[in-house]
Amino acid sequence: MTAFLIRRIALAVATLFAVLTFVFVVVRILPGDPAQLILGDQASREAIEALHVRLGLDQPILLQYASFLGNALSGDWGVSMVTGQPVLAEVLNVLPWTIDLTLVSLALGLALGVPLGVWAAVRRNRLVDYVVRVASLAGLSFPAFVSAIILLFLFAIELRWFPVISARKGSLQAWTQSITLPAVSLGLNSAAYITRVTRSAMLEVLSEDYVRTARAKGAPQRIVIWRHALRNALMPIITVAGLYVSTLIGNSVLTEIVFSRPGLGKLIVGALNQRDYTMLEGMMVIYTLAVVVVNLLSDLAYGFVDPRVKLV
Amino acid sequence: MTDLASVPLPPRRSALATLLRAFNANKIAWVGLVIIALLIFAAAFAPLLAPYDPLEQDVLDRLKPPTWDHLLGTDYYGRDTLSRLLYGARVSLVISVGATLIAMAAGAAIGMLAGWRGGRIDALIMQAMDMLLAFPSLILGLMLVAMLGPSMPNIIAAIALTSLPAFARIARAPTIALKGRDFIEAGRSLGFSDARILCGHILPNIFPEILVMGALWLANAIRTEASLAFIGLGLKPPTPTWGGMIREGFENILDSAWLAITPGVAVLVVVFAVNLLGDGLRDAIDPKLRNEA
Amino acid sequence: MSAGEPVLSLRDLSVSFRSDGVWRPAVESLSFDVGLSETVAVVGESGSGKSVTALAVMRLLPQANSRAQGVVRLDGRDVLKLREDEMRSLRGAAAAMIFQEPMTCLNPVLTIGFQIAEALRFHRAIGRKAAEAETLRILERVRVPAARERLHEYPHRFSGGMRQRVMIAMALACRPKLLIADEPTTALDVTVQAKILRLLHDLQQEMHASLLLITHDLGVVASMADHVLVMYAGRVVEHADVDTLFHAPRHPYTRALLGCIAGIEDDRRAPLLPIDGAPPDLRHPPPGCRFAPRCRYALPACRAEPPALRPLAPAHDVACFRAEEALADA
Repeated sequence: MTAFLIRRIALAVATLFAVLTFVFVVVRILPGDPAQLILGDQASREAIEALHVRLGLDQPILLQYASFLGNALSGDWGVSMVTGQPVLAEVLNVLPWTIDLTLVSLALGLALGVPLGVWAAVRRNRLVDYVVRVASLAGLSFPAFVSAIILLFLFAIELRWFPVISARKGSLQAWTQSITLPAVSLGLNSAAYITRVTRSAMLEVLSEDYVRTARAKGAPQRIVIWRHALRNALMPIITVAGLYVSTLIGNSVLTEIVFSRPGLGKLIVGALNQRDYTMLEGMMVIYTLAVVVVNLLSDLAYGFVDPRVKLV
Repeated sequence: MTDLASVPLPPRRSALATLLRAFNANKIAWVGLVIIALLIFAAAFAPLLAPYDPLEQDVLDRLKPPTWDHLLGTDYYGRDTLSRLLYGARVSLVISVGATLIAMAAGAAIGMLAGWRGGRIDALIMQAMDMLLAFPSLILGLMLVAMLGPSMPNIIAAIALTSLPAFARIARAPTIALKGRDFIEAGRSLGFSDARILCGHILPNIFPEILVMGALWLANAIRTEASLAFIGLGLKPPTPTWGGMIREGFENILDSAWLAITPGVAVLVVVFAVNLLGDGLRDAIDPKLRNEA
Repeated sequence: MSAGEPVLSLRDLSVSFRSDGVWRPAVESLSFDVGLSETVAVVGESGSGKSVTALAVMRLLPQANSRAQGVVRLDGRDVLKLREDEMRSLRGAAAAMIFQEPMTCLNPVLTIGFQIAEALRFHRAIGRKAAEAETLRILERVRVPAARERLHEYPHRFSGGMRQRVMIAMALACRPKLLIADEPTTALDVTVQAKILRLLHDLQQEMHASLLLITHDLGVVASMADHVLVMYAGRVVEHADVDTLFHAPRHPYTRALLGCIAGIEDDRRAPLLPIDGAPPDLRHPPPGCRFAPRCRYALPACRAEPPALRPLAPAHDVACFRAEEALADA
């Protein structure tokens, strides 16, 4: 088990290095001189050159790379060109909001999607199955911002059950109030995906020989479904759910805009609009870190569920 | 004594018949096809169908709900929503179809190359593809468009890039499987060039899977284009885009919800239709379904 | 149930499957008994309906596209008329089944100890500890070495032969009156086959259980069976005790089957006689005897009407119009 962990972590670290390098390269390919952009069109040559020196842009590229790597690893991600605040601090400020939203949406998706998928698989080709299939296809066809706007309109504006601006913290009640609509909006999309993958995984598993063996032993239907079938279907479900988290993170950008919710999404949109390079670098790193961590967690979860993997 | 007459032959089916069977088993796929046909029709004949010029403003008639004059209402500048919707359909179609076709071609080429060559090149390419695939596609798309500028070619390229890895993966596996088959060996020993074998022999075999994937990613592309426009990275106004219309509607949601919801429903219906079609296509090529009762 | 009553009794069992909207018979008018402690073998080629028969007895056929009619009396109860929960109490307890593919018949994410204990706990009110103790005992009885440690292992750590032993342990955990074995050794190495068959035989004797053995391997039949049913295209063509079947078969199909095997004493140069042709598609069965198209003794009468299964001698039924004739090999 530990060998498995060590290998995965080593791979994650290697990926991180690859990404940092990629980020470094990409941001420097961007058209436009950052110093010029900060100081504006009227700036004098001397001012621009002075800023170059301050930002370290006059150094040879390799030295820039080395200091970039060094800084990144030691937690110094530079300072936002717009706000002047340390990038890492800004990111860490909003990170909990995005993590919250992602986790709750995923949980909703699993809580709704797995039972629905199982139900559809068990009642294959009957009305329930048909309805679930069409409904889940509709659910995953919703662009995240469309479902968000519809929910906002219905529940926040018309019915006034929830706040229009979902940025409250402090008490559990405030938290719940502000996370509900965004999480439901994302959660519906998640549930749709998870329903589909659960259904197809269950159909595969239910036709396996060992399910027939369980029945031949006299197992009651619910044990056949939940203990024998679902335990095996979990493996592809975990794989897909893990991949889906990155889609979830991407979609949260849209949800944050609609619900005026702080988070990584809003941060990156702001940084792009204002050409805040240091912030962009930081954002790319954090997104990649997020993907790497999610991959690692889903691999671990997989290893937890499938005994054949543990000993590899 | 043999009685071969009593040995039954399995029935042969043409591709069209298989497709029709799958669509009949999955009747709702027809709905998808019809909607898409309507969409293409509407987009192609937008200039003829649109009651108004989509850019024509009328400040006296702003933010109106649907009336007989304006079947879907008007926006903040008094422009007719229906007309803008029709012209916006063109944008959505051109961008998403263009991006998907490019992704299909480039992705399949890369996947076939990786599978064919094997070894280091394969490993390198697939690592890159995996990383690309794992990264949130919307974030990647929005970074590319923001950095390069929101012009049509840029948007198409950005969406194509995010869809590409899926096609690479789906082209690679069958290529590897087919690589070792006898008829490929025969071709090589006859001196066929790699390109000829890949295009003439391997590509036809993997084409159905790529087509199905194409339908499913088309839905994604439409959604991504709308999302980018919603964030503000679509084609610049006053060009009508569905995402842009939703954005404007969102900004005015307290005054008129129609504006935000109507184009939103349009995107939803189109994406749903494409997904239905893709599902139907996938059922058609699924070998299990072909042989099953 | 009196001492003379058979453990399993089939009368006119018919099973059909639906594919492409059309019903196709798989088994027709099957009747036979399995007595106490008896071993009955059902022999036939693929598609003859022998596995379907076994699944029908256990009511494990897919409900959606299959139909079973007739009477199946197991332990005195008509299986086809029971409710599902009543059937469930019979499965694993009154009758148990082992299947052909040990590699795929065990759940990969549960330990084998757990899976064997399940068989116990579904039918008896028994606590976890007691179940574990009993499981260990059964595992040792099927001769799995280091049973105590292997209880907690997962199936992927076991070889094919070992997995089949685990399957046997699961099946016999509740001491069923009837054990159905569907091609239990077909997927195993030849060396392992003999051991598994020996194990089955010993356990059957020990528990006074009856064995319904489905197989296409006549060697297995010769060594294990008391009496034999030969099936072809969904019907029984010959039913005899094992000695009669091997020494005086009367149905042309049976004779052809036996002609396909090389015996150790046979002349090596004598040709093996394959049976030409293939079994009929039961969606459009031939009007007369199902075997007629491939039968070297077929008469026009054979193609007109199917022969009924009739007693040729006590304990020897044959479905052939020419059964009484001493047909010479051509």
